[in-house]
Amino acid sequence: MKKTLVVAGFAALMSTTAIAENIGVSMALFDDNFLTVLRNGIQAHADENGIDVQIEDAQNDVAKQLDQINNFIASGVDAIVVNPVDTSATQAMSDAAAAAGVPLVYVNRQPINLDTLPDNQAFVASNEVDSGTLETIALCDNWAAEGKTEVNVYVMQGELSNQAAVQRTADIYDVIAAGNCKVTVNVIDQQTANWSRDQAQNLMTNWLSTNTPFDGVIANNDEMAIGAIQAMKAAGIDMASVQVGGVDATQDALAAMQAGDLDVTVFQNAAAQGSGSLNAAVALAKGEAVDQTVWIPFELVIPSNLDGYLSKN
Amino acid sequence: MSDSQFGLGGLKYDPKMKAKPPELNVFLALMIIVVTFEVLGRVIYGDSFLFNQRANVDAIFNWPRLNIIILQVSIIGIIALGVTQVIISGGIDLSSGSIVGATAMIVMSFAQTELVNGNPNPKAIFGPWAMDLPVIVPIMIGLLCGAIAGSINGILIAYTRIPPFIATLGMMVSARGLSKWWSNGNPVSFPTESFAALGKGMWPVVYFVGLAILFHLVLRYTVYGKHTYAIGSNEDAARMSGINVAKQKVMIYAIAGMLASIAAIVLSSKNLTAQAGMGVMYELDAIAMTVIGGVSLAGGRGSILGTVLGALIFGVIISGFTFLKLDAYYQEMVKGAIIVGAVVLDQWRQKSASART
Amino acid sequence: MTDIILETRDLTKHYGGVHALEGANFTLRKGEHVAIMGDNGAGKSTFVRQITGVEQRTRGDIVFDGKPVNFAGPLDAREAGMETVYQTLALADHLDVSDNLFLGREKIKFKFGPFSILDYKAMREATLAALQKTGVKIPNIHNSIERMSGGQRQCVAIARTATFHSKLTIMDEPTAALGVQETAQVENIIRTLKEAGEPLILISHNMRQVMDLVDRIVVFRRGRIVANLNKSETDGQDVVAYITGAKTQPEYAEAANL
Repeated sequence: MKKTLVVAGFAALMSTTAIAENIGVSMALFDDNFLTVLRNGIQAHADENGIDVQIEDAQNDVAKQLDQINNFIASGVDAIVVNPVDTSATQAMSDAAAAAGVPLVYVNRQPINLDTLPDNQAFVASNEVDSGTLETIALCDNWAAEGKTEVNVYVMQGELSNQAAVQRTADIYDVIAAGNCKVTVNVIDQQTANWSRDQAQNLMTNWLSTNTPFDGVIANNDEMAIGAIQAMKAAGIDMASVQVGGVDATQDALAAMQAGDLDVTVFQNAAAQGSGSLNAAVALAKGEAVDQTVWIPFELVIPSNLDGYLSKN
Repeated sequence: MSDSQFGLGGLKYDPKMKAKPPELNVFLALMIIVVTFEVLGRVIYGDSFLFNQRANVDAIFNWPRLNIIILQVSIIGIIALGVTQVIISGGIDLSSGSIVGATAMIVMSFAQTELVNGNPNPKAIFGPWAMDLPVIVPIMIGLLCGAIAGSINGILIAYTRIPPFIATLGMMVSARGLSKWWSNGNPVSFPTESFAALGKGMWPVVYFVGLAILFHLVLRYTVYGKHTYAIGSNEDAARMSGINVAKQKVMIYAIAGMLASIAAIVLSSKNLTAQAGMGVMYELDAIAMTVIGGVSLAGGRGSILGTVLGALIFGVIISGFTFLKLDAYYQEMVKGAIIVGAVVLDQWRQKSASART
Repeated sequence: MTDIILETRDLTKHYGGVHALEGANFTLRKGEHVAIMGDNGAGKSTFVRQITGVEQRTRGDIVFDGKPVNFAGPLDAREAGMETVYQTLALADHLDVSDNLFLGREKIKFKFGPFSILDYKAMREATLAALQKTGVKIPNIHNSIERMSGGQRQCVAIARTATFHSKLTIMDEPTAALGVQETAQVENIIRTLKEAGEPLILISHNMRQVMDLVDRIVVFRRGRIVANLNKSETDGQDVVAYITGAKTQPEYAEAANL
């Protein structure tokens, strides 16, 4: 009798643990504006759906992230979600997960081994080809509406080791090359401000000291766009005479847009990326088939539609 | 007996034996770098680094450029003033950047304004009681944060055997953790007008230069300054001479912490935001400025003037690279080479100077 | 009115089970120069550490300038008028002569806690006076002392004595690390102190130096005093015999049994 109870109790215990999925999540950074929204999105979705998540901070350290993956595998998680620190170092993480048979989903940053992912691994993100493209085309439309035919611009890049920075910058040139811009664009200079508002402010001030006439600044993200705006306002430049574009649609950026300083930004749906990646992870853990690449669309944000985005980030 | 020349080796008073100030080498390095950029600019682009090129402006120098050269290094420069004192005393401080981050988050939370473009502040941390406070409140809170963090560093270093490297490393990690925890990684933005006015325009430069002058005088003319050099030069001798080494160290690190928090106030005001990742690597830049300025990592040697020159070298390099449109990928490598070059130059000149005596 | 500047009675120091110093009875009169000699581990440095307050004695009395004293630390001893010149020198290399002389005892123009303003002019004048008094010649007192020879640095350390009107100077192997010329320089200054009537305790291994400079020699062996000799009544070989234990003075017979 006792034995039966013990066995029954044991079976009950085992079945209950099989119901609540246990997902390990490794974020590249905890203190990045956008990634925080992504992380919050994952947590919120997990809470709503009774999924158990353990979220770790890789602190921008590739080695630490691989250790976290191995730790997750060792503690027997049902699946892993990874926001890679370095998109060219993902092969090792994929191999470790595949060897242990643990499903893995990459989120927000495109892994270099996307084409050779094993069947139980997937990728959920927004296509960076779209972000820079939407941004550039919108700026071009604005210049055309002002009656200009040729413009001189500055390009502000993010951290050069980030695929997002590289792709968003490439998008600018691709738009021009494909003839999708209604005006002729000359890039005066292209420098990195490492996603930082303060660095962007200093960089813009340096550019302004050359006294080169320009029509706009195309920045890889909102923080740098805001920094550039601050520098231009400090120099007394009328923000109506220049076009400034960013990416992310953060609260600060939307406020700047409401004030008439920022002209274009692009919303990256962090919440959808978070829930999408978690859903894919849970499905893979259950052995279901998923699309290996899930693109969450970027959305263009301009003054006329910004009200819809005020509560999203 | 006291006039005897016996055993004196024929020494006489020699005014030429007065040692040249070591800051001269740093100034020389600065001039060489400036001239290099000027020449390269003329040769490659036909443009001038220093001098005004606009026909409609009546000025000899390109003032916007000269201004940004010093403006962009003023915030880290303020940190470097504290780091200078720490290194002269024979210690090191790795926590400056993290103290900047943590202080910025805390200070900004008390500097927020209620309405942004007519809407409620989307980044409000506390309720209305913390909104639109008089600017002295966040300033005082900031200084307190820096003083507390610095004092913790100083107390650990003075009263336990923990080496300064480890103690400040611990503070670096903890303070960064505090920054991230403060608002769950979310930035804090939209300060009051009065707070935003603090870091506007050239004010960061005013604070930097003002604090530099203050601490130059303190290091040179006060007992605290003299004891800072003494501890760095020979801590045992200082102790045997009656100096309260422990108390002195706590003061030095507390002051360094407060300078880091001043930098945080200026930084968040200038950028109208506080982010948990602010200040990352600032401590290394501050140490680099200090070392380039002639402060010896072994302690006992260096000056505020040297650090200010080191900061200017940094500023010239940053602006010079942008001026020459140097490919971003090369910039970090060249910056590293210049840092090492400036220190090697300084050491070589010091060695040849002592060889002559 | 006594002319004894320092007296110790039954001065003893034990480090756990080790009897480093046992029952030392020592007297020094004003104006006297006394050398303390002995092999390594004989107790010379331990003796000095007890009287200068670096360590606390296990047993015994110390009477300095007529008053029994209990120094809590070396600073108390310094304040009472006892200056010690260490072999390793308590000097800060990067500071100049004036700074070093006044280290920890700086002259102040305006009192403001730790941020009191230094009175450089007064310190400079006092330094020059002290250097003159001890006969030390320095080319430029504004240079940091690291550029100076070992002998000059030692002289600077000794000049502190002259600056602060000490009642007793103690020198622990002052010329051990110096060359011939520099040693002569320091010995000149010691003679200056003798002429000025300043008492001195000199710890030294250098027999020639001791025989040249002092009035009396006290020999330690295995933690005890084994001889108290007037220089005029002894010679180098004799002293060595006491150091090695071949001879022991009758007053200290019990020490011979060790």
